[in-house]
Amino acid sequence: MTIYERTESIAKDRGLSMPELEKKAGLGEKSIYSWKRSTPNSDKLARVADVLHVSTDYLLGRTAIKNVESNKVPKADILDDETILAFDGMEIEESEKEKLRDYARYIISLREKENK
Amino acid sequence: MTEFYNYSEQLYPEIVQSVESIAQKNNVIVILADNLLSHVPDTALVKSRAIIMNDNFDIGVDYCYRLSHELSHILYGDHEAQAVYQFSEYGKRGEELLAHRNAIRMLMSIEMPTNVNGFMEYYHVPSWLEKYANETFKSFSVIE
Repeated sequence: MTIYERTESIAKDRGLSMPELEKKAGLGEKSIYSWKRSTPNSDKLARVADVLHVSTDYLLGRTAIKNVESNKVPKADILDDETILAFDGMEIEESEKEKLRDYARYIISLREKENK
Repeated sequence: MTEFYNYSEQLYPEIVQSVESIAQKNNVIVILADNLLSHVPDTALVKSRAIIMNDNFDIGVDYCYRLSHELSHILYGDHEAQAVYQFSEYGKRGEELLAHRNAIRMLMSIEMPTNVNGFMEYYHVPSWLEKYANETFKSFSVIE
């Protein structure tokens, strides 16, 4: 698989379209499509890897292990932005979402302590 | 208030206690958040088995009912469907409706009301749920 194909496949697993992925990674429209032809620079690759919760090595095809910290709960699982936006069509401010994320992080840390 | 429970004021803390102990027995963490704005709904995190109750939530639905609703998402929900749930008064489909129905069942099994109207008023249950409350009430009445 090429870098582009791996990126597309893992984005699909995460429920992200390519435009959504580009937006979350702070990249320009269609910029990931250009990876079909040319290798991205390390900064862009790292930003995409962060959004997808995989290592850059995984996207490059240098390892089959998706993430060196695969035991950690990926951030996307804490509070999925897509889900939290959809409350009776009412938007929740980013500052409130961040508070909810703080609670979620706290809860996850409690659960991690239990498992030790 | 119509006659729902004879000693409703004394009874309420006991009902809250019962719901909270169901959470505890099932290893569900309940957090009472006091720093959220009034339009932020209660949230259930299914994977972590936790509920964030917004103490300032201005929705007019009783705390105990909301807690039972969120708890129902975790205990009886379809966990493939979604990881995060937020309380919605108008969630008439799928998982939201299921959580409403299970919340009604949970509360009626803790304390059987004398009638459905009283139950609806006591917990400020959204009125469109009355038919489901009726169904549950009837099913419990037959058993008892």
